[in-house]
Amino acid sequence: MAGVASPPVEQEPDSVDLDAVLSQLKERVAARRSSGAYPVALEAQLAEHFQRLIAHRKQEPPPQDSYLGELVDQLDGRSDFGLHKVSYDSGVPGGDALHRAIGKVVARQNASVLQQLDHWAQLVNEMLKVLAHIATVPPRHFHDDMWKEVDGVLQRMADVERMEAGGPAAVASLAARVAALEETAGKQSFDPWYSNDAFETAFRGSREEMLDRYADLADELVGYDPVLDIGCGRGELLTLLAERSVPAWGVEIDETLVSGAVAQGLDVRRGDGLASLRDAAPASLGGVTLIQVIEHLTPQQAVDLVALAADRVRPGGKVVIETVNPQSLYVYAHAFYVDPTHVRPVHPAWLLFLFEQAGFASTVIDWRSPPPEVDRLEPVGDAAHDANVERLNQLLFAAQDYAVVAIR
Amino acid sequence: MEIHQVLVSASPADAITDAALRLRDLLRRIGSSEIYALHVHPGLAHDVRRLRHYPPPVERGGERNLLVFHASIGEPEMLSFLLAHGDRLVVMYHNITPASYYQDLDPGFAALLEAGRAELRFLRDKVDLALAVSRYNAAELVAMGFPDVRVSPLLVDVAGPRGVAPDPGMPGELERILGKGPTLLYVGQLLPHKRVDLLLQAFHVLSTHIVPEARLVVAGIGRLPLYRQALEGLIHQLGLYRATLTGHISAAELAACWSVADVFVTASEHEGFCMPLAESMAHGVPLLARRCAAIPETVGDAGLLVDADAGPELLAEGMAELLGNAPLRDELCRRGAERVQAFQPQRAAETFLRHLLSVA
Repeated sequence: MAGVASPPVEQEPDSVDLDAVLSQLKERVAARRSSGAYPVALEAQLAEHFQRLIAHRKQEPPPQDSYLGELVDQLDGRSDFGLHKVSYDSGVPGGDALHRAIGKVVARQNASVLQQLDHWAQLVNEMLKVLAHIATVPPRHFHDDMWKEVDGVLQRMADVERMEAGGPAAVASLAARVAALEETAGKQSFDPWYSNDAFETAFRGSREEMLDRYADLADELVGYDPVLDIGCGRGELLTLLAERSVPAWGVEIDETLVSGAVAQGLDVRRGDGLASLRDAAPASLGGVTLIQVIEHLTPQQAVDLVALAADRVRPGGKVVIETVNPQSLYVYAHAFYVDPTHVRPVHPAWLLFLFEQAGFASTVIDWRSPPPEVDRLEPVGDAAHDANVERLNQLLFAAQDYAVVAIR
Repeated sequence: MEIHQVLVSASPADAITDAALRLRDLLRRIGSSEIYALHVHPGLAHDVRRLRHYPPPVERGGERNLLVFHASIGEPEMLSFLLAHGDRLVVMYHNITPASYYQDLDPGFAALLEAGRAELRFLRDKVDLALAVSRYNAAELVAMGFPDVRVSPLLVDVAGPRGVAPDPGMPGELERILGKGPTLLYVGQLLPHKRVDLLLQAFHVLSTHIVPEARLVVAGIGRLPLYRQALEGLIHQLGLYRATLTGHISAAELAACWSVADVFVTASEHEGFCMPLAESMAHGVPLLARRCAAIPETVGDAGLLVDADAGPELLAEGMAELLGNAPLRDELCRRGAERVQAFQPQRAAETFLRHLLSVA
C-alpha cells in the first residue's frame, strides 16, 4: 500500500457526510498499520524524534559541528611548519649529497623564517576559531535585544515629537515651576551674615545679665545631674551649673556659639537638640533644660521633644522649659518678634498639657521677667477706673517669660 | 464621548492590529476615534499613537471616553494604565495562548502569557462589557468570571488578499525548489501551539507512504528562533525536500501561494478564531484541520475536521483524501464560499457597534 493513495471516498456531492469520510480515513490508518505499511509505533517515534531535536537545539552547538569548524581544525593540523618536512631527494645521481650541502647553508635562515611563520599562523588560527564560533552559534538573543533597541529609539523619537509639539511652552512652564519652588525654599531658609553672639548680646542681654537672670534655675537643678542643656547658646546656664558642681553638657547648633563656649572650658557639642536627646540612653538623664528654645521649634518637634524627654529623663528627674509668655501682650511689642527665627510662641496651658499627657508626675509654672514697673499704667485714684487699669496692666504687662518645671 | 482603542503592540500583518484599524475606520463614521499602543512599529506611526499620549481626563473636562482594550498578552504597564485611566472600558478578547506551550522553549514569553490571563482577572470588575471574537473565547471569559460577555466576530476582510495581484514569479520559484505536484498550504506563524511540527510529521507520512509527489508550503514567520530551527532540523532530518518554510513573504507572494494551493492544512492545537481558515474559504481552497479550540466553531461543516488528538497518520490520510477526492473538494469549496459570508466585515461591524452602543 506504500506510496499509493487510496481511492477517494465515494459519496453524492450534495450529500457529503464528513463524519462518514472521517470514519473511512480512520479505517485506512488502521489498515495501513496492520498491513505493516508503517514502521511499528511510527507516531511515537516521530514525537520522540522531535523532542530530541528541541533538546539538541537548546544546547548551543559547538563550532566543530559546522563545516567552518572543520576547516579551522584542518588548518590547525597543518600549521606545524618545519624543515623536517622538506625533502632533500634528488632525481640526479649523486644529487642528494649536493642538496644536503646547499640545504645546510640555507637551513639557518629558513629556520628563522619558519619560526616567524609558525607564530603568525598560530595567531591567525586563534582568530579563525573565534570567528567560526561567532558565525556558527545561533544569535539567540539578537531578536529580543533588537526589539528593546527599537523600542528605545521609538521612545526617544516620541520625546522629540513631544518637544516639537509643546516644547518651548512646556519647558517655560517647567522653568517657572522650578523658579517658584526655589523662591519658596529660599524664603524658608535663614542664614544671617551677623553673628548670633552679637544678636544675643544686643537683645537678650550681656553675659553678666544672663548669669544673674538664670541663677535661680541653676539652683533648682542641683541634684538633678547629669543635665543636658538643649540650645545652650553662649553657655551661661552651663557656667552656673559648673559653679554649683552639677555635671552637665550642652548642645548648640550655631558653630560660633559652640566654639565660644568651648573656649570657656564648657562641654558644649555642636548638633541638633532633638537628635542629642534621642541619642541619650533611656532614663540616663537627671535634667533637661531648654532656655528660650521651644519657640524656635515646629509643633511636631515640640511634642516629639516632650515625649523623648519623658523617656530619657529618669523618674524623679527634672525638665525645665523656659520660653516667652504669649499671655503678655508686652512681649509682642518688645521681645518676640525681635528674633526672626522664632516660629511661634508656645502657650503655657498647652505645654502643661503636653507634660501631663507624657506622664510627668508634677508640673509647676514659674512666671519670670516682669516688664519694668515704669511701663505699667498708673492708677488715677478713682476706684472703678483703677480696677480697669489693673485689669489692663495684667493683660498688657504680664510676665514676659515663664518656665515650666516638670518632675518625671 | 469618544471611542478609542488600546492594544499592547501594533505591528503590520498582525491580525489584531488589522482588526483595530478596521474598527477605527468604522468608529470614525460616528465620531473621533484613535488607536493607542504601548509598542508601535515604525511603519504604523501615522495610524497608531503611543499610549502615553492618551489624553488624561483632566484635559477633556472630566468627560469619560469609551475605551476598547484588545487583550492578547500580558503587560504590566498596560494593566496599570487600564486601572487608572478613569474611562469606561470594553475588553475585546482575542485569546491568550496557554503558557504551557512556551514554558520550555521561551520561559520569558510564557510568563507574559501567564500574566495576560492574571491581568484579565484583575480587569474583570472594571469592565462595562466584555467582547470575545468567538464563542470559544467567550466561554473562557465566562470561566474567568466576567459577568457580561458577548460574541463579536473579528472585523477582517477575509477576501482582502484577493485584491493583491499574485506575484507571477512565485509559482515558478516554488517549482524550482519543490518540483511539480499537488500543493498543501499552511499559513500562520511558526509557533509551538500551532503544531507546525505535527504538520511536518504528517507531511512526512504522506510523502513517504501515500502521495510521494505532494508538496507542502509553510508560509509564515517564526517568531521563536528555537522552534523555527527545530522545524528546519525536522525538514532536514526527515528528508522533506518537497516541503519549504517560506519565512517572511510579501502580500503578493502570499496571494501566489493561495493561487497554487490545492488544500489548506493546519495541525494547530490552540486558536481563538484562526483567520487563515476563513481566508481559505474565501480563496476557494478546501481545508483540513483538527477539532481544537475555536476551530470547529470557525469551520462549521465547511472543511474536513479530524479528531482533536489526531496524529500524523490520520492527518496524512486526510491530506490524501482532500488531494484525491475532487467531488469532496468541490463540495467543501461550495460550503466554504457560503460560510465565509458569515465573516463579512459588514455583519461583524454591525454586531460590534450594536454591542458597543448598548453600553455607550
